[in-house]
Amino acid sequence: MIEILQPLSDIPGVRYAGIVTSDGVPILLPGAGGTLGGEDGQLGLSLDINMLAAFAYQWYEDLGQLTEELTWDRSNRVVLKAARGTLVARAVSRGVLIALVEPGVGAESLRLPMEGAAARIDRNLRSMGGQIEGPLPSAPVAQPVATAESDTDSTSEDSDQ
Amino acid sequence: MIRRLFAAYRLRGARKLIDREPSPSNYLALASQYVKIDRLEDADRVCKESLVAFPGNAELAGFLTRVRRQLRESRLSELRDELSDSPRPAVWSEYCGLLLESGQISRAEDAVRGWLGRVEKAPPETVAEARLMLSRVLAERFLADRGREVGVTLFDELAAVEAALPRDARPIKLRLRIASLIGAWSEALAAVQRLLDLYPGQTALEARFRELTEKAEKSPGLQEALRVVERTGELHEDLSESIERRGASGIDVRRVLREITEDEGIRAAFYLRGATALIQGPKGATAERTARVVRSALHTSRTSARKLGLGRLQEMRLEGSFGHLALVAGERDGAALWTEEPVAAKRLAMLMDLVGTEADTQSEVVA
Repeated sequence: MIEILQPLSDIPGVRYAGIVTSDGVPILLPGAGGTLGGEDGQLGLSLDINMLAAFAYQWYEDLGQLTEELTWDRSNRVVLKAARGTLVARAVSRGVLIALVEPGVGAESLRLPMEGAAARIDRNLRSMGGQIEGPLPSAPVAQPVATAESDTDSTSEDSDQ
Repeated sequence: MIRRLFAAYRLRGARKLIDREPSPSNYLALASQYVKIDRLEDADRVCKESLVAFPGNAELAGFLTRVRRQLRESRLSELRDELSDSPRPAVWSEYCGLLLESGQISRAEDAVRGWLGRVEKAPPETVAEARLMLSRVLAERFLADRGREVGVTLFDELAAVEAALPRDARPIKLRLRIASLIGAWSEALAAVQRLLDLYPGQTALEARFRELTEKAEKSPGLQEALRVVERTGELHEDLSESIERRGASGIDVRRVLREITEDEGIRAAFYLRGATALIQGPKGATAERTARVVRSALHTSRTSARKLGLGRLQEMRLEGSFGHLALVAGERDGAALWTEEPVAAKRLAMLMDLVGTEADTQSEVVA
């Protein structure tokens, strides 16, 4: 997985890139940007990498539940742009691929690398087939191998909203 | 020479068009001509004039915002040159102030720290001026992030500035503003008392004093108030800036929503403020349900942006089999657009004008 994520985290302006699986396990690589808020000098806020993964995944899940109310499928790509950075989330089998970029770096510039990484992750998981146990996200990009278990536990994390 | 002649010819043509038919598009054409030949003040004047004739026109208001941003950028560039030649407190102050005005908090912070680094051996008043600017930067940072840590630093910094400039109302007014926003009423009351010492008998201050005296009885302490704001992200009073900006532009929200949804492929446009939702597109229960989801999505994302340490939410996009949903977040309001294709730059700029969020030059738009 690391070799798939590494090129993403090497993109200039990417602070973190990684994947959070649907059971909450994060695989995050720091990018050239280092820690959160580093760009903003002494006032920057640092955030634990696990917390970052948990918050990002929870946010994606919350949005998924909201769109379900409209009988929409879950979003396969979500971008959150804020004053001090942008979070991009892309649904993959069994989780969400996320990238946190510095302010001023366009989320569009990550579209292609993230699509590539997502395709590789999905392909890897497919090739591993039944070896992987565990819950699956109900993301629309889930591939045939994943669909058999797709409704088991899509809301495993507690919301703190 | 030829280029100048052509420019003058086009300018004359645009002026004549307004004379014949003073429409928003003709005003826009004239303002654009001025921008092309770098006469930004004239473009600014034409936009203001056109908004008197067509109040609430979103395109004219948006163009005016962009012209003003360009004017600010050009002034910033002049100030940067001046700072490298002859760095003086007045130049530093204007430079940092302009950066803050244009919402570039990080750059303003870098600049003010650069200024502080140069005034170590300067008279105490000069140092205090730089620290007052740092307080302003911290205040903006706090309002963007709502982080307790920054809030504490801000109030510490203000205390130091007040000690250095005891007869200056500016730091006290800043303290009053932030304390009122976070609901630290005792702190706000103390600030008003000190302002009354400086301006005895001022009726507005006396009225504020009476109002705050009541509130201060059940007031949380400063630390507690900061903690609550960090947790909830909610302020006690509207941020006047955002509201003034909207008021000044006087945009007719309904009309903008109608204009946005005129194009093909636009499924719905929303404007949300408090419990009110203006919707163009879907009707009846579908409209209500969609607006409720959009409002919840904005709320969830605002909270998440803060938790992630990313500060104030500006914009959000969702893509899926349902199409594309773009949301723009203002301080207390939000606007959204649901489309079949990626949201075009022009439409996104209209949404930004609607919520009073100044369009970011680096904003990601799909043309």
